[in-house]
Amino acid sequence: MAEFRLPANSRILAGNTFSASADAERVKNVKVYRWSPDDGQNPRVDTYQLDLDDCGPMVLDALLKIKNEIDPTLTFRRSCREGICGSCAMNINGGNHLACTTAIEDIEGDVAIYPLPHMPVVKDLVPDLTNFYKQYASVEPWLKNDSPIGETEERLQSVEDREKLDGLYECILCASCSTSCPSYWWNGDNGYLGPAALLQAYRFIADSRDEATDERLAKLEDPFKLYRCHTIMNCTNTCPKGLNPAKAIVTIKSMIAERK
Amino acid sequence: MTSNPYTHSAQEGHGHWYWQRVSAIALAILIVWFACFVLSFSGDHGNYQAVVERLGNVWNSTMMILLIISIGVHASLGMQVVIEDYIHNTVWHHTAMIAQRLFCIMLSVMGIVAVIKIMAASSQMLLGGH
Repeated sequence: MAEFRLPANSRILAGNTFSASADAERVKNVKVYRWSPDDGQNPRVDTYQLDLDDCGPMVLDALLKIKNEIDPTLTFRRSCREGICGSCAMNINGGNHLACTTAIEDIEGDVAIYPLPHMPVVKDLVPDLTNFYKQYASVEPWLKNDSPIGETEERLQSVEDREKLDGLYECILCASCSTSCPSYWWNGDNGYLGPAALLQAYRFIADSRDEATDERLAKLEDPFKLYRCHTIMNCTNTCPKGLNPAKAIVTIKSMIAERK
Repeated sequence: MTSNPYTHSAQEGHGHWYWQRVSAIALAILIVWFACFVLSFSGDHGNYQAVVERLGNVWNSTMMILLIISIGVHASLGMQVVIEDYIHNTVWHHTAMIAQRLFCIMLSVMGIVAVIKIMAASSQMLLGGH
């Protein structure tokens, strides 16, 4: 059965509070989920009071300030700090966002930061994405084309065909969409590929240079891999790049229907 | 299930998706008919004899049987989704799936038999029985 309650050792306890200095004027409470695999403790939520006049504008800036100046044990992924690497995807005030493109000032009240939902946690804000990458690999995300071509030739694509990839190729695989999807929560480890992998599957189905459309569609026709999507649309709502995985999935379903 | 559930395909799922939509379209039409049919008995028109008589009409009984079949199909497909989503234990999964199928078939057949009985009663009335 699906589990509706966290196991006893996953329930979140109250954590420590790190107060701002007395002369701070614009204080923001940043509440961060903390869990370490090493100490045998339950997860907790620590509260860091930050002075916004002495902190960068984004949620990632707040996390870096905490790590650099208050608590070096805080663990999270980050790299490009400009929304292109997808490393810092996390649950911020109930929605999955990139910490680097989410402004602290856009958040009313306290900032609450948790790891991406319903994934195993490695430490603090770092989710285990092993399964997510396995799903991505299973859609064989590379061009398949066996047509002979000269050594100095390229596989060309018309401007119109290239435009069909807009809204698909921009995906940065941050996992925000898949981990916002209730179907993925219940069946992500049970066969459902999730919106990110399905968007990627469609990215190659839609590519005029790819010759494996029939094979790709046949591989996707499965009650769990594809049809667990019930068009809930959380994926589209949350995508930090403004993409529409739900539309890609419904297009795959329509293409399978057309071939029947 | 194989160790990697993402590598194989059951080659099904389209049929469920398709019939869920077909039965939904059928229901959208048939429910409008059903609402009109029920409303036509409002006021002084509503008595047992009038219902039996009107439901015995071939057009009405056909629509009623189609409505019952559409409800049965749509309900069964819907419950299948809920079971597939939430019940992962293989034994419970199959038990629940068989139970819901039989339940939907039973209710549908019962509804159709009831309509046939009403048709019989209606023709008896027309032949001057009661």
